[in-house]
Amino acid sequence: MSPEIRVDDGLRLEVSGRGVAGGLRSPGMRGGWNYLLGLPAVVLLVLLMTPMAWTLVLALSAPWGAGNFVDILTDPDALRSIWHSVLWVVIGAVLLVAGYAIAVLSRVVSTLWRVLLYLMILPFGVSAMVSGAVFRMIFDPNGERGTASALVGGVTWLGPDLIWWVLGSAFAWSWLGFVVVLFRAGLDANIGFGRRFGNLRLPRVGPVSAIVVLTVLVAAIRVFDLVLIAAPASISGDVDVIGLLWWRMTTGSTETGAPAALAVLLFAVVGVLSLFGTRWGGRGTQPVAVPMPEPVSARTRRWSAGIGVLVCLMWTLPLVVLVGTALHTPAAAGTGGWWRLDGFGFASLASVADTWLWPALTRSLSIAVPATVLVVACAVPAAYLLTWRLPHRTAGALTVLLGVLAVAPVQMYAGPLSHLLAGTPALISLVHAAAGLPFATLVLRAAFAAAPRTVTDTRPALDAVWRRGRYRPALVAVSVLEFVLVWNDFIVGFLIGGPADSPLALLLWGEARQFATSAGTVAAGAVVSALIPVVLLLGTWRTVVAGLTGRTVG
Amino acid sequence: MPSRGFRRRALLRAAVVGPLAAAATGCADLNRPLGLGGFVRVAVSWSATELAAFQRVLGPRLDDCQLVPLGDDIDAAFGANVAGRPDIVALPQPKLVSGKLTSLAPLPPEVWDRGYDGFWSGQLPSRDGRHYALPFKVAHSSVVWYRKRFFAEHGLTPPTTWVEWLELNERIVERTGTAALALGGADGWFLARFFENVLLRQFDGVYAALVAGERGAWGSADVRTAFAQVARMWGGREVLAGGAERALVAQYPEAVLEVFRYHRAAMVPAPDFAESVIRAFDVLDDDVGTFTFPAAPGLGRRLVVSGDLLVLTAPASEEAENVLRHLADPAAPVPWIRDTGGFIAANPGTDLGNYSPTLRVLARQLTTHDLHFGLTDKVPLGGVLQTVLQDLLRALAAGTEPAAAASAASSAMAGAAE
Repeated sequence: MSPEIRVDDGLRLEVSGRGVAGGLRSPGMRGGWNYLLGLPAVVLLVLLMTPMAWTLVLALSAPWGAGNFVDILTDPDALRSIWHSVLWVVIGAVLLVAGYAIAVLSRVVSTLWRVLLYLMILPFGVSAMVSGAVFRMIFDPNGERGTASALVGGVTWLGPDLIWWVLGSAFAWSWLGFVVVLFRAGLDANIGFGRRFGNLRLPRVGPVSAIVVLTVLVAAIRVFDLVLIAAPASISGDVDVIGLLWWRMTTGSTETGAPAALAVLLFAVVGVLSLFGTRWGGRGTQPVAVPMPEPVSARTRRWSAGIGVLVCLMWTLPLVVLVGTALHTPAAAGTGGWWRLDGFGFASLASVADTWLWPALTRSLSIAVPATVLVVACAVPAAYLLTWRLPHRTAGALTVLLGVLAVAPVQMYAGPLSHLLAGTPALISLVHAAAGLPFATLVLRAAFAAAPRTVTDTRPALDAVWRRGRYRPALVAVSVLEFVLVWNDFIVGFLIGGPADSPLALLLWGEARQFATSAGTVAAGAVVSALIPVVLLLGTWRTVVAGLTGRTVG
Repeated sequence: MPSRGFRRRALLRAAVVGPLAAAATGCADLNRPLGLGGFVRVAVSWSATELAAFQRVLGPRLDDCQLVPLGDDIDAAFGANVAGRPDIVALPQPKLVSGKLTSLAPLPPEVWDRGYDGFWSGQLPSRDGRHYALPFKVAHSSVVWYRKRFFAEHGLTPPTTWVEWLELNERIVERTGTAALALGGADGWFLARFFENVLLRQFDGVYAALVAGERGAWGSADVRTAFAQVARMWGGREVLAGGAERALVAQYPEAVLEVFRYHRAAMVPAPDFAESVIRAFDVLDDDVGTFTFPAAPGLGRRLVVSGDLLVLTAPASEEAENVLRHLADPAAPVPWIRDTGGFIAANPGTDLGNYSPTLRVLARQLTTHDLHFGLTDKVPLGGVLQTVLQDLLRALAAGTEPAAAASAASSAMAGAAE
């Protein structure tokens, strides 16, 4: 069986409200009881939107309308963090270009590609907290411990000059696989060629680019835990971003206006990105299947293979560092690198297992599983209504709303919610579900809308959504992504939950307080915490990709 | 074909993932992780070896407890919602206690030892004659650790005055090529302790004024001179191990290792709890020496300390009070003192015989000297002081002259105080 993903037709994740549902809805439908199916989703969205509205009110209150915004835009610290957030968008854009290039090259070297895919998608299942920790280990300025410092001595990698490279690498390690895999799936659709640069004609990725561009840019601007764990506290100012400044403002003082304004600003930026990003990404001519001519010279093949091998090595290193460090005793890992032959043992794993690991694993599971179930249970009927039941215009407007809510930063609703919910683990699941619902609904709606052209009844009953295997990849994609996202979450637990919730990422952060000398136990905790999402993702990623791109698994 | 293949794979995957998830939850005692209640939740700021040591201190009570290590975010234990609060919180600063009195339950009267009255009573808030914070751990923070063997080899002796210390640093760098000092500048408190020692032990009066909340004192000549002294020492040629930039991104245990493990520096100014790092990483006992920060004549009896305090959140359960009673026992911290090291009990009843020879000296000093909490633990501007000192180190890393860096630091501090 080939690993390629067979294409029926494209899927577009529209937030502009045009087109997708056109022609699917049968006119003149009545029956208000159907709308009750959407009630759970509406309740969750209200849970999300009420605190957001409250934050907006806080931002616009005292001293006068736009006063808080003027304060922020004239405060040097805030301006610096805004600039850094913009820098993250640039990093995201560079990543997209690199991912596109690797996806194009990957078609030339198909054997290597299979290995590469698994290697690159793996870090996507690893939390930002863990990925930040790994890169801080690699770039430990001490040559006895840090891989990079052992290779290139005399450079303070974690210092103010080079820290951005460390952070950028960690982000790339997490996200590049996602970009490459989805772009590759789009390229395999043979949609044809797009822009032309001289002799170079760029193959078109198709509508899937909307999801990729949006997800990566929004992830880049919302970066939080990665920076928190990877940068030493003394240089936090050099890597401050809007989200972190917001956190420091809320913990450092009782003032509510300025942080609320900061949250609104962040939301406005990602909201605009969402509106225009998807529109731009989804635009283009109708897919015309053009067989891709691939006159690949031996030289190109060699180059591509070389780059492939290099990427393989670069993507393996962090895994080796993490597992190697975890398999050293705490004393050995705290004083020497993962490559040291002495000091191997399970003492680091035993140490975290004795202290916080098991309760934290259960806690994470007890948050992630209900959240996932809830998201699927609410998103399926919601997407069903949007696709087949609601009037065209209403569905369009709701889709736009979901597109904006899907990218809403936690800071937008964390403030008011933390007062209500801290210390109640069941409700944290609810917040996760509410936050994940918009994206899940959009993916499902797109999958539903992309299908019926080959189906006789244009408006199936709700239970047919599962019975018809056509939609299962999308359901799997939504469930897996939600579970992995919640399992790996730090920011919601940190900003909204209290110590009562103490899921994995939170305790890992506590363990990493004295980072370098705790490397063994931090790595051990990280390995165990990453095991479940990584296994889940590797086991399902092809279905996930199919679900996100609206295709069937070949 | 696709759908059948899909189903089979899904089953296989379920078979793979299922047991994993079960293994993840099944191994531990089920009651505790499931949060089914009955246990006492203890939030602490300790991590790694110190956390493991505290577990041993809980000893027989450990089965009744769940530890919540919160690191530097220990304040989060008092989130807005009462429902999820831990039952016992170990707070690392007295200033954290005073703001939270309404959320706390009074201590069971019998845990308060008479011996606490002298020093601790004045530091800790009480109400209606009831105490709310139990001193548990006290840290001697006027200590400088040095490599005994290295000093002996090169005929060096610990300094007793500030000038002697400056000369010693120069001599070490010139004669041995080793750096004199290792600093953990990524931990703001580490730099603040250094500065507090200079201020408390070199200048009369100004420290008390700052603790009393006189903001104007931050602009005083004494504070300016203290900044200048600090900058001059840190800015000395090749004094800092790896240079100022490395010192800026290193945390305190890394600085301790620079001295005792990698031998790239001769001294590290760090509180008594550095002993736990030294012991965790197998340093020979006969290489470890300590001296107290040099003091001006007549000020030698002043020591900078910090402390960890145990508080009960309201309403306190019977079980939580029992755990606290256990921790208040003079013998309770003995496992930490003996097995991990780097712990000095706040309880005056704890037998000095349990300490290592090095720590016994420090523990005895704490009973005979005048103790002063660090500024970071006492005054609201403590956080700013940490940032200002990190910026000072950063300026030195960028090549700024020590005098200019010091004057920028003192202006920044005076500006923040206004």
